[in-house]
Amino acid sequence: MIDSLFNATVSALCYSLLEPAYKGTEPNTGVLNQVADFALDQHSRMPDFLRLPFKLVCLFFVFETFILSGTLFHRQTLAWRRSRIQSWKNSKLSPKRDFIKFFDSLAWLSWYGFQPQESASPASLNAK
Amino acid sequence: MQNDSRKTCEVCVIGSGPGGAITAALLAEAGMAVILLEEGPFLSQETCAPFSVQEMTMKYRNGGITPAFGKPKVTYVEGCCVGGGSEINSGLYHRTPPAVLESWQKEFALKEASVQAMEPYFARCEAELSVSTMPYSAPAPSLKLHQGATALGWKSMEIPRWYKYEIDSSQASGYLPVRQSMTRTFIPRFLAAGGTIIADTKAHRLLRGSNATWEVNALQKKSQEPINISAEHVFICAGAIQTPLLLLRSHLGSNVGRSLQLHPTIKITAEFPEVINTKDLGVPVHQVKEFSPRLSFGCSISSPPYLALGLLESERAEYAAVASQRMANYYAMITSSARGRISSLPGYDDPLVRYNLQENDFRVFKEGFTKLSQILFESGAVRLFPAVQGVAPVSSPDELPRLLASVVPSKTNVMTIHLFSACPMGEDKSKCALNSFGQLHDLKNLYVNDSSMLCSAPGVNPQGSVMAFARRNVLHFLESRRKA
Repeated sequence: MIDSLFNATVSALCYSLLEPAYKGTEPNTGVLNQVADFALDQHSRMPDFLRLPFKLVCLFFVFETFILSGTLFHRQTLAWRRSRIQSWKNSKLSPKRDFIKFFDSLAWLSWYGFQPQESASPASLNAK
Repeated sequence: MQNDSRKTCEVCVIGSGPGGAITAALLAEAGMAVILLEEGPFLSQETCAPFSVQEMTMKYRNGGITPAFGKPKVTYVEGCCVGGGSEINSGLYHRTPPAVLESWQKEFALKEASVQAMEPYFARCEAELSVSTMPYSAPAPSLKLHQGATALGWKSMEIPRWYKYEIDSSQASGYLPVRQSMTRTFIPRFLAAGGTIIADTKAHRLLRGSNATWEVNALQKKSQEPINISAEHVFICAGAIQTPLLLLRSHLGSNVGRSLQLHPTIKITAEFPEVINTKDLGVPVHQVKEFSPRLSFGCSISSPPYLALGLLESERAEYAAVASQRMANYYAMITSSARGRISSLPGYDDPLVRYNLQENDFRVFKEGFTKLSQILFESGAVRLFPAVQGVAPVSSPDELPRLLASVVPSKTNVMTIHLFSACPMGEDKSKCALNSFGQLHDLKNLYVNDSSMLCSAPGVNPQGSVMAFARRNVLHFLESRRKA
């Protein structure tokens, strides 16, 4: 139960974090799934004393989302998820920032790493 | 590969990175029965592409997720495979700077470590690893750094690497660069000399055996079967974190794990108006040494995944998809006098690593950001993305004050790939774990021969120092045995 909630939340996090990469186009779900699997695998590879705390922070993230919206994070709309992520990213609390940063780094690293360089460019990207 | 759980040998070498591989090879070539124990898998260089996501999962410790806790956290990476760090690093080679050798002799009472005394060890390593400069033009991002620094009148140079350049007409440069990592050099020599490698097996504890031998308690990672190795001599070469951890777990030695040093590094991703980055870019080779050892600058891996990481703090990771050919990652590396600590956590396998940067380090970081930005603007960069959380890109030197105001511990992304000095060598027993030749003080037949033994941060890529001192220590060991 906890594991499946963790997996679903991490997958939803990766999909949401990578939204700027596929915005306005049909997302490559194959690569997105690979990214989510990679993030979960990396969580299982991280130093053993950090795995449980990371899971607990994730559960707090889910709990907080549920209190605020009455729905689990992975069932929320993409826009709502992005706003929760942004709020944690800018939090004054380091565990919140670290939690998002961890998955943000893994998501982007593997997004570019799992696809040929030529096909990495989404159609509708504009330089900021 | 041997399967029985009890083994006996003259020497057990724990860890097969640059320190362990040369130790094992030289001992085996001297006719000793050596077992080389390695926690990670035995993979060839061709198993995965260098600096790829696959390489992280296959050859890095903890998949590359290893933080040192402090303010700020410093993320570091270590190799965990046969060949260790030599399989995953850039191969840039430096000798230990003379001033550093001098300070080690004075401050740590390190014997026989003058420039003259070390010369033959460095020279031999350089010959055996084919240390050389590139026979063709360096990658464009590397040249950009060099041009910018030279224009400012700052000392910049191509750093030699342990690479062989094989003539290959199918390559654009006409050469195929082949990294002379341990799996291409000292590991084959070790095997040819009759040595035994046991990979995928982690040493957990060292115990004193009977008749002045050492017992190495290890566990095979896949089968979880224990292996016990009885050895007359043990050389621990498991790296700057794992070596002290093993000693701490075994309650052996003093001044162990309390003096970890590293080269804290910050990054800037630079965007140029023209194409400078290609798929086959390879490893940039120039470093700016005008302010070394306090501060050095270089160019790092700049494939799209690593560019995305560089852009992440500015929330522009998606920009790597459209601009990667015009971008490259650069770093400023400092030499800090801060000392970190490694602790064994009861019930856990992985260590807790703590490292707190000093207040002055952030002043040097600010200087690093300023000078690196100057170099990059001088070389034609149009936009810089510093790895500082929430800082918008900088488009001109006038905007540097805005960047510098944001360089605070909670927002600055600090990382390192150079770790050392957790068991320093020297005759000063108040601060050294090892004597001048790597033997633990007051413990017979037990040695450390990896980056842990370096007295302090060398201010340059440390593999050259590690291998030269490892060779020196092994030859001293063999000579002492011969005399005895």
